Amino acid sequence: MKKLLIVLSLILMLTLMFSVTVFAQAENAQNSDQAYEAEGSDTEVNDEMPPMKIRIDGKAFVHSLGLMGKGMVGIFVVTLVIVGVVAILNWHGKTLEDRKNK
Amino acid sequence: MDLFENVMLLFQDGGWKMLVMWIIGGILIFLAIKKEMEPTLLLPMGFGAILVNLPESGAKEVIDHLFEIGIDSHELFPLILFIGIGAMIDFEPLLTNPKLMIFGAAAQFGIFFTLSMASLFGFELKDAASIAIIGAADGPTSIFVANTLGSNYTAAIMVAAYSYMALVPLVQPPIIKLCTTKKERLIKMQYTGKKVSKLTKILFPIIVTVIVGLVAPDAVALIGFLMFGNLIRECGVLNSLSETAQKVLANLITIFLGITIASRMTANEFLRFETLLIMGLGLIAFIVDTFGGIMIAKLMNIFLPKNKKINPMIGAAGISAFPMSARVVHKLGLEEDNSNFLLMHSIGVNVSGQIASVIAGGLILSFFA
Repeated sequence: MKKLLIVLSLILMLTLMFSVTVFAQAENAQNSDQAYEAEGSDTEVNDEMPPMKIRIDGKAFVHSLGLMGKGMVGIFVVTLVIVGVVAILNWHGKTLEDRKNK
Repeated sequence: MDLFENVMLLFQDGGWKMLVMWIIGGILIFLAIKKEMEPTLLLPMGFGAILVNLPESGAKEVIDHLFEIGIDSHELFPLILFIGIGAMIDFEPLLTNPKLMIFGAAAQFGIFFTLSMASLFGFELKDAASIAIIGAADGPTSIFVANTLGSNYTAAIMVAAYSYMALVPLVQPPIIKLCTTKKERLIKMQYTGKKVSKLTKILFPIIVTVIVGLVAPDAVALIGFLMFGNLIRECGVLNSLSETAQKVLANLITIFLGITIASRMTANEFLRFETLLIMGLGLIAFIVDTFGGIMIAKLMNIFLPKNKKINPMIGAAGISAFPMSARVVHKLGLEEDNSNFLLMHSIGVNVSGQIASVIAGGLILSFFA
């Protein structure tokens, strides 16, 4: 129980840390979007991918949280359907066996 | 002088990177031989890493060609390997107790959690998704998803996926112990050993393919090849094909797969800060997967009667990584009580993790492909 509490508090702490960062970054991203829109999009397009800069991306994070929810719900729904089908197959198999035994 | 031209290249700009890749290749070979960690893949990958990082390497072109036909073009190698894996898997422990599949589903939480973490760190979403799929603990799925999404970090993702699969016996036990109490680890579960009808065993791969194919059409190649292998095994009339798929076919593809992955282990592609970050995120995926599986078992225990409680450790086997994860759980059970046999339960969860990880891969693809 004590260990579980430690794990849960760690998760809570991490979530808090990330939330603070996310809100700060989401605000920055919004500001830069507005600046981009004001400037227009006439900048040259470079085909070569620039080296990735490690930065905290709040907007993408929020979007991915939505995908996380969608993904987990998707997996559970598919799993439950498969569980249901297998249960029916097992029931059918058992019924056949019972009939044979009679 | 020409004879030493290539040697001199090693001491010119960027030459040190090749030397570092030789060391990495050497470490992979060492881990494969000395520690027996996934030797079937780490050894060819290690040797391949040295091969493609020789100055002006003539082998690079050949291995690149193998990559083109085996992975880049419709991910043939991982898919064919899945036929072999499908033929190796016995779904009976899962079919006798289908509710075990819920643990497999819960243990994919790490994939989606890592997707969020990777995107938080600024990876593009398609790269973040490819990194997250390391949490599927399943090499072919990782390769398939990363390649289909056209990730820029395919090599690092493949190395991380296979390395952590090999490290399951080291990564999982501390997490399992941290998330469970001694009392929980001592829970004994009865194995009824009910027989499953042959019809069920034959229909299962077909039905799963249809269900997953309808929900996540992008994953139908993965699940279809896996289940095709299993159908060959269970149909009872193709024993020689089943044996070939399990042994010859799987071994043949594994040889090529390992060395082909190495084509993406060139110094310039591999020696980047992001590789370290990907390794870190991969570890997070494995840890959160384990956590997810255990937590769902604990949650179910709240509602189950006292004599039907589940040992939460078996949830950790939902991580896929077949069959290491199941063995780890079984061993931990025996460590706590030498009469507590969890193998059949953990194998059931483990094979369900295999299916769930493919479904997760399919969902990821349907989000981004």
